[in-house]
Amino acid sequence: MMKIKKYKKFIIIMIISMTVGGVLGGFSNKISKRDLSFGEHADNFLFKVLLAMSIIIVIYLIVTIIYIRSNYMKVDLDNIPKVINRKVSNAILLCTIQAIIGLTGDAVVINKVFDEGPLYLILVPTIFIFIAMVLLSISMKYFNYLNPNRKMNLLENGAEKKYFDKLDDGEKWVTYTCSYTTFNKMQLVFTIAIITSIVLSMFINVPVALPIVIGAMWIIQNSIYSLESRKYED
Amino acid sequence: MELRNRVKELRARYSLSQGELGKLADVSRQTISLIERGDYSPSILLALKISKVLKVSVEDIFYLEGENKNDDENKKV
Repeated sequence: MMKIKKYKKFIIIMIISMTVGGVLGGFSNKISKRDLSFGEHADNFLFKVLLAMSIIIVIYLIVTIIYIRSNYMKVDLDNIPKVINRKVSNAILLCTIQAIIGLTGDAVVINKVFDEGPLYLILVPTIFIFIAMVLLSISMKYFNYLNPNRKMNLLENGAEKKYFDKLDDGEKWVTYTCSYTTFNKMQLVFTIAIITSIVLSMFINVPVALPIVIGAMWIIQNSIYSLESRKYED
Repeated sequence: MELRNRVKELRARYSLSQGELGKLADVSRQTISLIERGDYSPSILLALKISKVLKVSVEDIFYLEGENKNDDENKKV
């Protein structure tokens, strides 16, 4: 009984996977006749979704930065209010996310441009990347003001490493915990991504590159972890 | 056995905020907060720095859960 309890999670996942796999397999003939794709408009739809996300994020970022700008000078640096710290770290995170969304938008446009898409559309996500970079440099200015001992210049070579070296023991421990959680969660994300691409390929035309890229990223992540840990074996 | 500490209690004795203690021990407010919550066990160097600031020995600040300090002192006698 104890043994079953120990493997409860694994058994539940296996039963769900087998059931879903069995149902999909059983209906594979019917599924293959369905067309759930966006057809010709898939790229257009994706482009609009990314554009809408970018607009929302940039508006939020501008509001956040205006708030920080009007408050950061009044702050006691020895006792920085949590709300200001949280807003600055949110702004930095969202600028990075916005830059990634911009790059994804560029990839969507380029993917279609070689066939029939209008080339000028590439300017839209590129402008958003530029806006994200400007807002990131403004956010970093506030971050450096609030953390004079942890100043960071993103354009400098090895900026991340230099920043890490400035952290104290406790902050390094936080980085270690966050990195380990990210590594563990990414294993789950890669699993879900591969399964999603398999299920989606039954309904729509999923490029072969997608599972290959996901698989390659998964292998690379595990290889980096394994090779890095070997350095500390002796 | 888990490591426990009396940093919060001793800090209050000197009316120090987390930020002020952090500054004196050359670490961030976040690190002091992590130690007080018991999330993070400090290095020997940091434990010594904190004990110096709070003017008590390391053993008076950090102890293992379930270990009775008075019992140890009685044994010594």
